[in-house]
Amino acid sequence: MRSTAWLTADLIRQLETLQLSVRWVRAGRAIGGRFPINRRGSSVEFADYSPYAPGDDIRAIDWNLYARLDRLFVKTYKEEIELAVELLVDATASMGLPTPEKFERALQLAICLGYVGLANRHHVRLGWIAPGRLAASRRFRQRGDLWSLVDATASVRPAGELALADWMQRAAAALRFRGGQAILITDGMVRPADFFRAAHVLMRRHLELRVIQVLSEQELHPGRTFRGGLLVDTETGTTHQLGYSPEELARAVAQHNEQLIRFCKRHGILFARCVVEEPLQTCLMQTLPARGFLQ
Amino acid sequence: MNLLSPWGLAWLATVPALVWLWRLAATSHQLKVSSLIPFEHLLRRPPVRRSRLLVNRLFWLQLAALLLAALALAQPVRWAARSRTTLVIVDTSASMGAGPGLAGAFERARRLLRARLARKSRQEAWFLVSTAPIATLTPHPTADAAELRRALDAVSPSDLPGNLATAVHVGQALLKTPADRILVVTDEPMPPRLADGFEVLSVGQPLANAAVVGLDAQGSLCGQDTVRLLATAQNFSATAQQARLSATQDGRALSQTPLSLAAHAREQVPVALPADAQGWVEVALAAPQDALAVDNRLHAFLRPSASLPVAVLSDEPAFQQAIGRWLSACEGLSWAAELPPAPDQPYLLVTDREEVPARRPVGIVRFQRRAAASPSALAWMVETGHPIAAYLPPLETVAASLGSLGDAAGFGEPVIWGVQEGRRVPLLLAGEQDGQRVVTMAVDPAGSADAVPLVVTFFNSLRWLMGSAEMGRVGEPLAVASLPPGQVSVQRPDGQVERLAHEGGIFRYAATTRAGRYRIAQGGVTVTRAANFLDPVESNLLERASTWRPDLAAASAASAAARVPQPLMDLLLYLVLALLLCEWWLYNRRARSTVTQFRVQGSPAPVGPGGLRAVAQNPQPPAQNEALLR
Repeated sequence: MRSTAWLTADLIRQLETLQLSVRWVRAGRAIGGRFPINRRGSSVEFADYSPYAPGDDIRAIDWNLYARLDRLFVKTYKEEIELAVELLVDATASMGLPTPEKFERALQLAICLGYVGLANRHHVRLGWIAPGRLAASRRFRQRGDLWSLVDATASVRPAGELALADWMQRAAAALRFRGGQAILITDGMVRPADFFRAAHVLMRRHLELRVIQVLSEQELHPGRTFRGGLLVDTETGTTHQLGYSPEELARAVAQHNEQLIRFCKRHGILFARCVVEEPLQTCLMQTLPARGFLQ
Repeated sequence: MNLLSPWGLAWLATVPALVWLWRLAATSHQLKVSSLIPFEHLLRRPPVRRSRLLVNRLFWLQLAALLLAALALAQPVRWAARSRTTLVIVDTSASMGAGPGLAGAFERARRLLRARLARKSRQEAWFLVSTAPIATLTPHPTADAAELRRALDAVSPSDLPGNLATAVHVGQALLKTPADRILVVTDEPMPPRLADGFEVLSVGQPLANAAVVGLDAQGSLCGQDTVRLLATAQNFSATAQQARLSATQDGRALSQTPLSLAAHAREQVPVALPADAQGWVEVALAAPQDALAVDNRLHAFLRPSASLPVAVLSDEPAFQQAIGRWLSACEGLSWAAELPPAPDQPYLLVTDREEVPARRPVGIVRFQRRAAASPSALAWMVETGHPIAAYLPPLETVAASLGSLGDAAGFGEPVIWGVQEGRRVPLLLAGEQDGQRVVTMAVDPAGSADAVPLVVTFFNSLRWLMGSAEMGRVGEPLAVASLPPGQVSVQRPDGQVERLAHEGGIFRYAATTRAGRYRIAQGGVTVTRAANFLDPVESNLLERASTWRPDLAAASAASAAARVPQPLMDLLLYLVLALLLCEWWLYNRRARSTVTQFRVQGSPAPVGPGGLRAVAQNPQPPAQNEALLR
């Protein structure tokens, strides 16, 4: 059982003042919210005309247009839906290193963002990017679901490896991703091509994707501690004799992250990085608002 | 600086081993990382082999410790001037107690030494040695003035005679290096010539004194009369004085004898005693001019009869006849050819046998005879200082049948020597072993004529053997025959009680530093022994004799300015130890700091010690990809 001592009343009060920024909503399931979408719905906001077809509600026929064009058209209205927020937390083995704090920080961010969503009456769901059976919580809708959200993280441990794009395809189908916002919390220790494919999967499902990269300083500057020895990849078990200069190592990490960031920029995906060694508040109150995640 | 063992530097060959170990640790060390994906393009080319050894502070500390250890094994020495050591001889002999209280010689000596101590430089070490008994007052030379002052306060004059020359010799022997200076504080007169490095502070002054310098508690050997007590008193002053000799027993006054002692006179005075007096008697001398108290009181043990029965045991009738003839000349002496009938009666044994009867005699006269030895003329040389030599001229020719001392040659002190074929051989040995006096004579009485010196020697021997074992002198060990094993308590004259473990047999007590009676108790048995002062040399405060020897000069003067090697090995080893402790502390601190630095806010889980050390040391890293993130 994880401690929730970090989730203080002060922090909750601070979270109450925030809300998730939403650029667009193109699809969704939960009707009755405040985000209109271009789908025939029952709101008062006019969307378009469409030719009359048998079975259409004759009350929607625009008789004025019929008088001018002598053809039947029905008025369509935008549908207003609730925003679905998919919090996708990377739970592969790489999240457990170099310290367990990294995964803890990822969970804390997910819980905090989830609560911000709940406070704004969004539908929030937590999903774990982990090998094996797809794991996700139910959708939470109310503020009071905060502790259910916390409980949902209780038994999750980082382990194993997977191909991110494959998991995303499976999850999109099984968890019925459609519309809303997906916040991917990961360390980015994934091949760029895999990451790109996974992002495309989500975008095809009309999800507004946002990426939060959780990294430790050691991972950002490996040359400081990788002085020699045998490097062991915790996910794959691959080993390699380290024989590179600190500058080469730092450059390699920077280039890898640069690919991810450039991809996100090109596709309008918000990208933020939270460093484990920084306080959680710094990430929530400074980094994420500055990157457009929160407002 | 010199190296006593340069081969020790061969240990420097272990430095490459240390470097190799660090390289091995660096290459074989497994570091789990979250992913190798960021480095995939690097992994495609073979890694460049590092030519530079990557080390941290731990390596430098280990290297320094290794270098210092190698240097220590080479045993470096530094030649430096020796720190100054002063051997201080404090005269604690009985004469130092002369004079009243704070005006006494010892108090003057103490004041002088305290004054010297106050002026002593902080580097100068003193080594205090007392003369009576010869003992160190500080366990080792020390420059600690407080410790020296405490040692001086604790010491006091004893009832023993002292010898300055012996104390200087012993003090120098106990010092590891010769003393730079020898300071002697004594009441003896200043030596006429002192070598460099010696200083004598004489605190003595001529004092008139009267003392009992001898006590004879024996009666006539051959007479039937009871025991007599003869005290020898001496006046150590330039004027005559009237004195009084008193005898007491258990606090009861027995007699008082007035004395008129002429200047420098010695007088033997019979102490008047009741006819049936026996047991411990205290004799005290009171004189108007008396500076020393310890030599005024004596303790004597009076036996009921003057002489002991003699048992003559021999398998040779001729020997028995010869001894019987001698003993029969002394009417008061009872003797027999067998042991006395009463089992607990003390007796003397005269024998030519090697073995001793189970009933232990008080003393033994053993003749070492040689078969068929004919009498021959021998030149006798007599050591006149021994009681057995009384009435014997120093050199005399005696016709006697010589025996052989054989195994007994090494036992006892030679009293009579014989010159035979130009060689000097011992004829009579007198000694004491386990509380039993033994006289060994290399003469066959059966084959010898009844020469007067031979008979006198025999009777002198008997008289010496009958001497009281209960009375001794200060400094001599007290012996009690046959105490069972267990704890023995000794109550000293100064009131102290010592408890000693005894393993059985003869019990000896050697610490007779005070004159008076010693009560030795075990179980329900209490035995009393006395140690009397009886030292005319020490009692003579008017003309103090010097125990100084002029040949004491060489030892200290030669070493005054010597430069001595100071070994640095110990210091280097301490440094090695300190470096290793630092290394250990640093190692642990790094592990701890890694844990604490990375416990981020809200994290209950402890962080493992691995990794992140560098980040901990630099918590504000430069930004990465910041431009893109903006």
